[in-house]
Amino acid sequence: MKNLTRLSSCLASIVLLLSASIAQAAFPDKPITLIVPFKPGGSNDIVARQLGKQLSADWGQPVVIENKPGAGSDVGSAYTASQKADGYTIQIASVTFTMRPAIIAKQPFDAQNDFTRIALVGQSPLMLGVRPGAPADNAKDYFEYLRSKPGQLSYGATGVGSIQHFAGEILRKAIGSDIQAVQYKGGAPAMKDVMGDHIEFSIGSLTQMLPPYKAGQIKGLAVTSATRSESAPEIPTLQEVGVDGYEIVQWWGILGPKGIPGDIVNTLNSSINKVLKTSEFKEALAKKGSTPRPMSVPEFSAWMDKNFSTWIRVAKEQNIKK
Amino acid sequence: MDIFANIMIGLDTAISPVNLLYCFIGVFLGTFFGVLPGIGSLAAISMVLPVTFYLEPTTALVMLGGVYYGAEYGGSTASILLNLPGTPSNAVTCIDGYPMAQKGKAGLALFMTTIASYVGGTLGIIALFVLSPIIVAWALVFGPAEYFAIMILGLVAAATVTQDSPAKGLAMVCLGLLLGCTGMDLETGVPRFEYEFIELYEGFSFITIAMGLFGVSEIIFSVKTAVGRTFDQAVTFKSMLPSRDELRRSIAPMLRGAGVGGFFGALPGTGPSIATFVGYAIEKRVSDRPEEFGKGAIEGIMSPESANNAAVQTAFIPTLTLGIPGSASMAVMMGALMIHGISPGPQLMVERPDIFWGVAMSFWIGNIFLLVLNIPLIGFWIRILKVPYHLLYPAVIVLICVGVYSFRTSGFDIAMVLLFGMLGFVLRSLKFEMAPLLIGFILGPMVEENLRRAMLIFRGDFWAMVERPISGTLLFLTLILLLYTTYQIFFPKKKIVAGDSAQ
Amino acid sequence: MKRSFALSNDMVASFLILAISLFYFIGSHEYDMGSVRHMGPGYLPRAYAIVGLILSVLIFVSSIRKGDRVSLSLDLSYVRAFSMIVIAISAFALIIPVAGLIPAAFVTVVIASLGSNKFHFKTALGLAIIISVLIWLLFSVLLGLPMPGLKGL
Repeated sequence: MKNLTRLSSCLASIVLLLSASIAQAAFPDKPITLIVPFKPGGSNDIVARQLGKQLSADWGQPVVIENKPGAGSDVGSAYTASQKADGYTIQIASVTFTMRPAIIAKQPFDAQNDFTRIALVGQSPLMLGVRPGAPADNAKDYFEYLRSKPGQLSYGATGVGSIQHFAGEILRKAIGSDIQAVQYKGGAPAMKDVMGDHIEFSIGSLTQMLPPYKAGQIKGLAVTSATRSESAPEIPTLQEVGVDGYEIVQWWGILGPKGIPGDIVNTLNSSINKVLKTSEFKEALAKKGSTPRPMSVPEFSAWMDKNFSTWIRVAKEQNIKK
Repeated sequence: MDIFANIMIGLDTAISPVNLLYCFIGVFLGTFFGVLPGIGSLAAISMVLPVTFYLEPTTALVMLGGVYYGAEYGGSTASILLNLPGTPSNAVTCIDGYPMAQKGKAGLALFMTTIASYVGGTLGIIALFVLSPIIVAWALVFGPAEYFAIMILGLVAAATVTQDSPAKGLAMVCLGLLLGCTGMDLETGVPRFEYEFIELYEGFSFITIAMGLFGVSEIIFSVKTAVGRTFDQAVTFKSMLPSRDELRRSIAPMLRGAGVGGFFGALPGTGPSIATFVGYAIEKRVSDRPEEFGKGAIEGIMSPESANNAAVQTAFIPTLTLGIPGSASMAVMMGALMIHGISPGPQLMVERPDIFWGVAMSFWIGNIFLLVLNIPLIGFWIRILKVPYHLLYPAVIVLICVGVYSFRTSGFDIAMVLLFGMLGFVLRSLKFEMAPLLIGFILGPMVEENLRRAMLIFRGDFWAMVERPISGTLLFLTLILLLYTTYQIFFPKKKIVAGDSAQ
Repeated sequence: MKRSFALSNDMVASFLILAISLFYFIGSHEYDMGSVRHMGPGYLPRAYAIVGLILSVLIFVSSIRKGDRVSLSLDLSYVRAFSMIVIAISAFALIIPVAGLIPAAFVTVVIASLGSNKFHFKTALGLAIIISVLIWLLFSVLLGLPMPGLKGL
């Protein structure tokens, strides 16, 4: 009798252990949906597809990319927030995700609290691009030129509170110019007006700026990251040219709905980090001037918090309206 | 010569069996998607995009290009047969194409638009080969001031497209402008006239407006008037061929349309939609029988179709040479290249001439496929019109619903179609025309953006815009057109005044 | 005598345009006007609305000048087609998220068919079956769009 009890409890614990380990090994046991809150073809989409392709090879489960564009990225993010927190619906989010709460009065979700933070994927600097005929060949002289013509000059950004706008306003203040921000529907049309000498400069993504820069249609005066970009190592950073403490990078991270169990978050995080360390992924990102940046879950969470508070502070300082 | 060397490089790539195959598949899928109401070229490209990730980059672009112009072409089929425009450019084809079909000339209309597409497309490709550098320089000259000026001109020109009094045309443009205000304001990030619907943060979608105003309202009218009547359509090949007179009337509009399309296509942001409207307005102005427009004038389909396809081709110029996509569809295609690790841009022509010229040549081959594929299909399309209308229209309604719903799986969009269907029915009952409303809706946001941009750049000095040669000239032309139109409003055409005095 | 008081198309239309323009004119006050240099989100909507108001007056005046020769062409005989098509489309929007594509298409075809004088119950039923299955095959199966044929089963 006693033995039987012991046996049964022993069996039970084995079953428990087994099922636990099965549950562990089994994630993911069905296709995972990766939401891209933008139209296909943008930088978020490209990063998500590369990541999804490699994750599905790793897991042996398809990773389905679903584009849910609209209202900045709020439509897709609202959708993610409303899904089951089982790790089977995750989303790519960029730096913009942490900027929007600082400038949008009303979002259909709480960006800080309605999401589980899973992993950082990679980052990319922006580039200060000017027309080839601009009246200076280096950033320092160029800033002098900007200061010398108060009340006359304009630069292009991609919407109020976009990363390009934040980057421009912070630079404007740092160099003491009164240059006027003008908004465009995307980096490409802004760049076109820089080339056509309608506006002075645009601080655009390296992805977009590199091709015309390499062809000499745009002059690259500086990059916005703390260190030089490997894709264009000849361009100095803004810090090097005397803009102290200037660091703004575009980044992409992975989020899920609030309340995904910790072990699943960790599984997702380590699978993603495994992909980030492959040379295939590194090369894919390098082509667009970006680098992978693996982070643990707590690191990424701290990174998000820091971003949220930075943008709220900057929006206040620069008087970017809510 | 360089050009011939380029053509040879291009041909070499384009006629490889794999590229030929995918070009054909792309054109076929594009035509198929385009014919379905509610699925325009952008939706078609987005649907096919994931498939192309497994292809070589050149092949991927060849296929997506095929889908793009195939869908633009297929859209005209639905416009002519059922008054269902899938893209803004197709809306213009509705104006005269649908009346032609109702007169029993659907075969002729479809055949001639195929020809116009082909000619426009071919001329556009020639421009792509020969004029790329000039066109790029030209596109860069256009800043916010110039864009504003040309769009204002387009708006005023659009108002004169109507049959009736210009005041009613302008009123419809104005209504379109007001509807276009809905959505997030770019300059300040404030959502406007969105009535608390997150679905309206990006404005009303073109598809819901076009399907409602053109499609649903047309069905409500036709259900009653078309009872028991099937359209009497001849389906012989001979009936598709134009008469000598029709052919004579087609050639000049087709060439003018290609010119207009080639010009606007190269301007990023304007592209095919404004090109087709301007092409149409020009034909109506130069025609010696403007009263036939809107009632099935063949000029009214030739010019816009030719302009559309020429613009589609030249829209690749800024995309491929500057890395600046001219339209949402172009942006998706650029994204497709970038997913393959190729950055479209100026150095593409130098580093990968096989891609650049291969794609360009494949467009031309794709246009031939369009001819081959579609001329035999015309007979099939016409047979759709032979289905008794009371059996046809419920199917069309379901197609509209599914097409619109598929756009972002939202019942809200169907509700919008319904709203615009009812608005369209009321306005058309009052003898207002829908085309000017649509152009107001499309151009309105662009007018606003560019005006506000220009005013910021010039620090509120409107004269700075007038002093620039291109924008100044365009604004001057607009003023003349507007004065002429005002004159027409106050002193309407003789027959009305004469009738008035005779009581 | 009767001429200046008859409701014409243009007159009704001028009221409609007046109403819409007024709606937007008043609505635009919710948004910042800004200045000519720095136009706010309310600037152009208000400008457009004012143009609309002017045009509605112009159309009204010209409708009086034209008199009743262009009489009202709003026609009550469209009521049947109008209401059935409105109900059919609403039904589609309501049914598809709940029950899926096939039931939605089926109901829509039947209701829409009611809009025609030639409505025949058996024909409509047959048509509805054929169309709903074809639509499902085309969009869900062939194109793979995320629209299940049947939902909630």
